[in-house]
Amino acid sequence: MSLLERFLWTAGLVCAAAGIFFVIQARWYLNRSLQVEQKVAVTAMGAKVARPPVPGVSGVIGRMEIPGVGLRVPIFPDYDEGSLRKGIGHIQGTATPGGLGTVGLAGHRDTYFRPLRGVTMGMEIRLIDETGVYHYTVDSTEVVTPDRVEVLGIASRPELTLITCYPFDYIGAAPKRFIVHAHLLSALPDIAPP
Amino acid sequence: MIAKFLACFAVAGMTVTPMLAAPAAKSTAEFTVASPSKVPGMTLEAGHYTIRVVTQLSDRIILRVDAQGGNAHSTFLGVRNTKIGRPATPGMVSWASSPGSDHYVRGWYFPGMSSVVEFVYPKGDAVAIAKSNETKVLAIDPDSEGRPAANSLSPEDMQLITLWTLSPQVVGPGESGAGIKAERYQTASMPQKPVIRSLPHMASLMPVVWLMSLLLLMSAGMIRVIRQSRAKY
Repeated sequence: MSLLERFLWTAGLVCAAAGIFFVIQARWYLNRSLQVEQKVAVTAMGAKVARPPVPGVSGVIGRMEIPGVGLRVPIFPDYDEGSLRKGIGHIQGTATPGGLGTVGLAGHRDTYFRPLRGVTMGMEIRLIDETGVYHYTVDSTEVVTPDRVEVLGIASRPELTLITCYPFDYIGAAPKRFIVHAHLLSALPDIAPP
Repeated sequence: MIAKFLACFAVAGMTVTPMLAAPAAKSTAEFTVASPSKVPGMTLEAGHYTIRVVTQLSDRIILRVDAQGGNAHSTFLGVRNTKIGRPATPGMVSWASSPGSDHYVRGWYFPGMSSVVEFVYPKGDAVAIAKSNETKVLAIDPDSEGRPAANSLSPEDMQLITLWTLSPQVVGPGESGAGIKAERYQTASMPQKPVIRSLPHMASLMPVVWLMSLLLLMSAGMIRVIRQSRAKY
């Protein structure tokens, strides 16, 4: 075996191992996010809102679910690269899940937020954290330029804004952003049944 | 004749005007609490207290409650609400129904004011009050705006923080009972400072990693096949 062939096999297997590791890591953090909901069920029914959600040992502060596109992903307190490799990130300074304001969540277009391309108006989005389950309904989607930060502004009702790059299949630094707008149905969360 | 008439008119005017002028609103009041009562940011144990208006803004009022002879105090927001019936005498206005065993103060009627000043509660308390009462409750949620906790807001925070109304309502799928609908309270529009300068770039390296892995392994495989076919011949 030549040196070149040995190098190619080694590098290829290392890259494949890294990819498998990240997939396993993502699955582990998703399982941790399921425990956030169970904690709510165990502590108290009708527990008061606790602000802000405190990251556990895993750093997960909650979970987002969009049943209509089969999406279930953990939420991390920030959208740094390490967090986005394991889930989606909360944009600091925006509302927390169920909060009175606009919740901003960002995720990679080619991993967790790929299913957003199938989101349609009226779909349900659930945000789950220590205080319970908050239900949102999709109002619209749009494609904007990166300078349109007003999509995170406070609206006339509590809202949720999901952000990812666009086009979804773009190779390289995608020039635009795909936005999903949703509004909060009730400031009173559901408490998950034990 | 005309001069006499004007003189009489002037005297009459100087006499009547003080009678018609509304007395200036008193913005401080002392009161006594017989049993624990809650105001935003503080539980008033039995005792004597003072409530006063700190600042009156265009759409809100900053209030402060101090315990007499003690260090306990709370500074919070209030909003004039003409829809609340004014009591016969100035003083405390309570909610018709309080959540659990807690007594929540709804607002205060200061003498001379044309309306009751309704207190603005932090979201957690406001949700509980709204569940117990069939009416709108004013609320703030400082954590959702990146601000300090409600009882630690600075005067500037109090001027800028968004006000909300919470009301019981059956909302959305999956709700078997009443939910709490939240709407932004209509106030003078304030420019919002953006939380970030631009929308973040969201592209993962994972597809590149997988593609590189595929290409490297394919290349290694091709080299092996070529090498083996050459060795055969």
